[in-house]
Amino acid sequence: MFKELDPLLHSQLRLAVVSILIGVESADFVYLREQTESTAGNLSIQLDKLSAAGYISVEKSFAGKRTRTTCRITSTGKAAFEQYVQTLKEYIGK
Amino acid sequence: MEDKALSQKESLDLITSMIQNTRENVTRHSGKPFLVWGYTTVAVSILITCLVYFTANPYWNFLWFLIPAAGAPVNRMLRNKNKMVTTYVDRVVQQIWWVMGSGVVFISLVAFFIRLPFPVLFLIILLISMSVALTGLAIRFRLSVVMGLIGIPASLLFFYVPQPYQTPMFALFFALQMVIPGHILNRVTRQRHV
Repeated sequence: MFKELDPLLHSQLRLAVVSILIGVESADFVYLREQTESTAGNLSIQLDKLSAAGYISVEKSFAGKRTRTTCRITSTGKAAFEQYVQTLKEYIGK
Repeated sequence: MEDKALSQKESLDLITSMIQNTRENVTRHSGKPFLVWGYTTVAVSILITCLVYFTANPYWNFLWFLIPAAGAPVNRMLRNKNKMVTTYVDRVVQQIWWVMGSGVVFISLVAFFIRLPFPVLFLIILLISMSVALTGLAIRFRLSVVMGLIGIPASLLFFYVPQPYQTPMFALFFALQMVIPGHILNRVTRQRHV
């Protein structure tokens, strides 16, 4: 019996964001948008979902006159990602 | 990229590609701090060498403090500009240089008030060489590791070289340990992104 894949991570854009954040200490919104080739609106919605689940933390600050959104993965997010990869491996190795 | 569900294989491929892309992207412009501190130190060393040589006034040595005064704001300005991602390696490297910088400033201040029983530039180059080697290990850049490790025993040269030649030799150390590796590092990372 296989575990169910975390539905929050099992989506292209959210998984891409978490995969980027797992390897860095922090990344800003523009970087995530460029790397995922997504639209600002869609990315913003997905970041809100990940943040609401406690998978990432989102911090807004100012860089000069511009607002800057910095994202970090949380320990809950790391644990969820590890569990997700583990479950994937079980599926693929079946 | 959209908010669509994925097959298991697509998920794994996506994770692999995102991690790989990020790893390649974050190394870009890694040589900048080397160039900022390298060029600042070389310029100040040459300036002090010339001023002391032509005026025979040792007070020009106070200009050493131009290095942190000029280098720190320039480095901060360049670091923040377009810095969209911070890695764990960035933080480690930053902390290595923060500790080393504090040590160098401390020993420089001490040297102004107490007559040290050894050349102060020996100790500074020793600290810098260790930091260059540690940075090279952290960012996996072999040239910096080699230059740093060579610099550790080479710092002993300051015991044998006469005082008037120590400042230009200090500039030479910085050119070899920071300026040249900085340019090579930038070229390597630029090529990786073409």
